[in-house]
Amino acid sequence: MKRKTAAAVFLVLFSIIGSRHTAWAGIADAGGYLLNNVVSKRLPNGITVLLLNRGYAPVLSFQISFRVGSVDEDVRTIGAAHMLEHMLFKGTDRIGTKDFKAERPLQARIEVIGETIDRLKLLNPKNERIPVLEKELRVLQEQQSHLIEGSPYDRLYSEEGGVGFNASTSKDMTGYYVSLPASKLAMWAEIESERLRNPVFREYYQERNNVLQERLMRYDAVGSGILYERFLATAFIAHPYRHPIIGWRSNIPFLSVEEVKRFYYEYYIPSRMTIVIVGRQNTDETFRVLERYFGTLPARPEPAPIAIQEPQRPGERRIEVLFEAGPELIVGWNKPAFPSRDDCVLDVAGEILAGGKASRLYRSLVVEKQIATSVSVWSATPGSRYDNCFALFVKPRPPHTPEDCEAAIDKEMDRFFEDVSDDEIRNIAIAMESEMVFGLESNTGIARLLSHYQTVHGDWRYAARYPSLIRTVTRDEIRSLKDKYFRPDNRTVALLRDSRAMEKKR
Amino acid sequence: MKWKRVVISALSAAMLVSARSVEDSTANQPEGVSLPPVHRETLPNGIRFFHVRDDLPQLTLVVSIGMGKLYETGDDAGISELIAKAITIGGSARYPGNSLHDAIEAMGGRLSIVSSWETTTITVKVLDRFKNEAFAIAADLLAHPIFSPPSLDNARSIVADAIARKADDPAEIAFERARAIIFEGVGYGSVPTPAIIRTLPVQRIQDYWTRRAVGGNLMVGVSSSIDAEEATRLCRAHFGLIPQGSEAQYAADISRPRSAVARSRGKIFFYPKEIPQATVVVGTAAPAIGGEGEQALEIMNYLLGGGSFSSRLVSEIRVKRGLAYTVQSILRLRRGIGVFLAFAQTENRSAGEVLDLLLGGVEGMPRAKVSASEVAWARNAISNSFIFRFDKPSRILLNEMERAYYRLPEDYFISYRTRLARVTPDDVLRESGRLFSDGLVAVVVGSRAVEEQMKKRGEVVVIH
Repeated sequence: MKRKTAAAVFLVLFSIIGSRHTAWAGIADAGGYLLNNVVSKRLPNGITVLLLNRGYAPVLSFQISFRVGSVDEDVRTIGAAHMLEHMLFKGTDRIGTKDFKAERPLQARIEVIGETIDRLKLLNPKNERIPVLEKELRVLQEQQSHLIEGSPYDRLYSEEGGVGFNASTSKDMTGYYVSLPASKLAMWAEIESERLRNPVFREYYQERNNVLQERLMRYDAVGSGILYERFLATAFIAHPYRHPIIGWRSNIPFLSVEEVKRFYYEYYIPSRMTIVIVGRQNTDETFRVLERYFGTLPARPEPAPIAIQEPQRPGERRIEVLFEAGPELIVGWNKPAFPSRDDCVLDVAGEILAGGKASRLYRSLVVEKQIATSVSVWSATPGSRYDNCFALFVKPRPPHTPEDCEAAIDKEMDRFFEDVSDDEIRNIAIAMESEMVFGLESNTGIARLLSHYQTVHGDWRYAARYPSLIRTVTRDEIRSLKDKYFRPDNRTVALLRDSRAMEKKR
Repeated sequence: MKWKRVVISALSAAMLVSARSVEDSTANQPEGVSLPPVHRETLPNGIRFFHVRDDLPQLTLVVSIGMGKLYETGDDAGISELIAKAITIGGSARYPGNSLHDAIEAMGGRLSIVSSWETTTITVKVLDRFKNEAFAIAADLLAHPIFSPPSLDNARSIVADAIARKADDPAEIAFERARAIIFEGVGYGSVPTPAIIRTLPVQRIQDYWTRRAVGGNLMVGVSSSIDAEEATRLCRAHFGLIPQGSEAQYAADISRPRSAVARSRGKIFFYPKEIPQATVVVGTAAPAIGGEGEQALEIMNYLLGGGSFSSRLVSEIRVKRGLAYTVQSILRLRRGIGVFLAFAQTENRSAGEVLDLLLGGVEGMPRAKVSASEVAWARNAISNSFIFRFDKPSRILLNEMERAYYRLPEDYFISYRTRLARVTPDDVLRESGRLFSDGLVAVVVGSRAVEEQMKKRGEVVVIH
């Protein structure tokens, strides 16, 4: 990749700023602004492209997303979507290598030996061939380390002024992000198209260990992490929303590089890919650059859809987790996903119940009864592509227990379904209007919004139209939710108890 | 709500406060740049006012008070956080208790009252048609907050529980203990406890607020579609009667923490916690912002662990060895004093190895070879991303408030890249030599098995 000196970049950068700064001009309607200004196109191979020219600064926010997440994994590939995301930082046959011709046989041998070690360990951890192979693996890794450049994209982007270079994997989607000076559009397109076309999974086994460390940090060493993980595994007994994005601690050390490659080949396809670019740009020119670099990514067939649905629930599900941490409570009710009308109604109900400091549950549990220190809601836990869960998250306030909070929630929700008011619904609609305007402040925020709606829901326009949908929700619709979803047999309750307190009791 | 889940919230509330008065509008912008101008003026009561125009139909009002953790000593640790929570719950004379949040909700607005290291900020964000209400709410919270026993007791209970829950998070524990040792329990090192929070007298809390919520210790910033003239008029109308008072100061003698760091040399402070992952933190006190070596230190930190995956510590510990997911170094220079911290989280069994790598990487920096190309990479990265400090009006506003708070020169941003360009490898080595000359405080949180690894590496001091 070509690199320019910092001085030259800044000269260009600031001269562009000077020439393009526009006078103040108001935006009256946020949704209308998006509908009128977002340029939506599709490349011949099926990649969706969303472009928005905005702002006074010559900077661009880039997001590439794929409609694939942990929900698309099976029992052999749990954690593969996330592991793949990590491997997409390791370079290609041209990026991140000093001599790929010399490196290629080492990489191939490392993968063969790594796969063999994993299988032997699963069959018999005491197999005497394992230490021999591990020694050979270390030697090969050492040899390869002299032929590669660690974190090649990070270095390329950071030197050119990139910020926010990162990626994320959710249950529903995977995204790759960076913001760069606008003059770096072609450089970004060249790097990213190369990155997606021919990734090399170098340093796979070191990175797999890093993922295990990440799991320790996010889940195994944190009470709320464990509680959330176990809650999902209880609320969903069949649907793949039940397994953790990062994978289980037991399966990560055996996640096969061949399986992750297969996952890449099957799901990283143009028809599942969206490119969003927001910031100061000529959208026609941007599209031409995208055509040039991404237009040749090969189209492949869509993988089969997920058939599994949650079975009927014969009764409430309830679990307890013991951990060295303060008590917590999650209560959830299974429900349909967007674009079901009820999903939208439940969004409104969630905001009235626990959406902020004026919400009913906050006021009741935190301010009046003072039995909790926080209450929050996520009405589409843990994702939105498939039927999900309306979940409340509560931190009880000592000496009050999760059960005290659960009883208070029950009582408050009964009252809510009886006397929810038009004023409360109206306030949520106003809040939605405000949030749309506030969300237009940053390139990255807009890019993330468009990317999410296009990738998960199939059309970014839902984002612009959502506030008007909210305004049509009625009291009767909210009341009808109680018998449909908020029944005891549709409920999952997860309680975190402080293991230190339990020890003292004994 | 889906929008709330995916949009990035606009104004980061954790921003800055007070400083000197300047009559200006477009002065401090990088050369050749034409950004929305910042209007600045000082009100007769000493309030420094800033305005920048936005093209969105919104108004963000930031009232920043010079009051935060750095101003606290051992016996009032946490008072700023308690006050912020008490006002959030209790409201003000015109907006008592729940009516405060009802008023905000009726506008679809956002309100946050947050205490951070150097400031406590009241931020109100609304659609611009609610501009008068936003000013009225912020001004009343500032002038007439309610510290009644019921709301204060509720706030005490919430803050005390939040402090207790910090002990659930190994990273929180490690950082707090490291700062406490470096700064001897004062300012950066102050450690709020549930006991302090529950017993701070009401009168002391009220007096604390009364002394700090004064014109000389306040900054008001507005980012909005309304013009500077109207914003200034609203500011004068709503904040004009705030008493003048004077700017608060906090103790900032770097020699004390440096002595504390020197006394800790060779020791490993160990906090036992039976969890499967250890947290390792090393650190020291750093100089104030705006000093001669600022840019060299910034480049040093970028090379060490602030430069993402390509920095030395991340490359060595995470990328090459696969020992930790999180590895980072942080350099934060503030008005009177600063702090440097480097940390990693790893499996208990590799805690000793990671500590060695962190100490070796950081303390070895002054003796390590720093090439011109490395410095050029860090310089280019910092310099080329500089534009992102100006990519939206609210950030421009906060830059200007920050510059004023830190009493940085008028040309601070204009000359920023020039100063960065002058940094040489020798500068980096010299400044890192100064920074790490007294050694580092090392704190490890992990299981008892980790303690055994530490005993092989130094004198272990068990802390709780």
